[in-house]
Amino acid sequence: MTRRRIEVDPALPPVVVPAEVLNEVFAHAREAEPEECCGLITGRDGDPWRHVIRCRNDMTRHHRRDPQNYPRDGREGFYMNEQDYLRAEDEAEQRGERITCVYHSHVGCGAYFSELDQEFAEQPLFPFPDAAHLVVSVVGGKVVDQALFVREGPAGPDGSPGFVGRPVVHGRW
Amino acid sequence: MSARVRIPAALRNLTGGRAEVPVAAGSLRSVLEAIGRDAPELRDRLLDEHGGLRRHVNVFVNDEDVRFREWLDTPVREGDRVTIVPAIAGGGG
Repeated sequence: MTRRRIEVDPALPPVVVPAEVLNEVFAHAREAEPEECCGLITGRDGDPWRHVIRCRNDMTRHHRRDPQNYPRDGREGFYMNEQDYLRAEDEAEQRGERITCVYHSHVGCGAYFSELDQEFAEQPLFPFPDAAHLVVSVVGGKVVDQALFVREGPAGPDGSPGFVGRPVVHGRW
Repeated sequence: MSARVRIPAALRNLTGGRAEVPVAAGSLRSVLEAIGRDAPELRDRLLDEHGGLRRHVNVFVNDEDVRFREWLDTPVREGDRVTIVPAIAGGGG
């Protein structure tokens, strides 16, 4: 299946994310540079932005062990540590929450939904098919852009709605 | 006593809704082939045409990542817990 990167559509209404949640994701992205960061956000219906859970990016570890199957390192990709995300899922369940958003950073490039991002998010085994995807762009130690990719587009070949990119703005404290 | 394979939620429709499937001990390859005989569609989701693990999925044996052990030759002993874990990955690049 041929994919093209999805950019944010400025004509779509922005998504308001609570400042404390967005700031935590930004801090993670800055601290992880020059590598990409990744993590999960948990919440409930009507209150999707409650907790940020940082996860480890194992991409460099996999690349060093097996560069043929993992050609990128953590500067150009993320591979969420499985134990971290399973633990996050358990924690969310214990709080009566679910995983509402998967976040990661791009380093030195824009806040788009890349072909690789889409490949994993759309594969049939993806564990959080209803989650949104928050992508933040880090350049020179600063977060310069962010966007949220949600399944609100036209249906794809499998019948599921396609991803579109919506702007993201800080909510009030 | 056999080993147990934990099935991710997205694949339970292929195991009649079962979250865990008992299997005979052996190599991980033989374990996956065994559950694939009962659920061929499940096998196709996990293994590619060359019999290797698909890149969107990983397997842990007792919390140990098989990529850091012997991959599909990793031994699965009686009482072991095998967990199939879909990958979450991507990146800018």
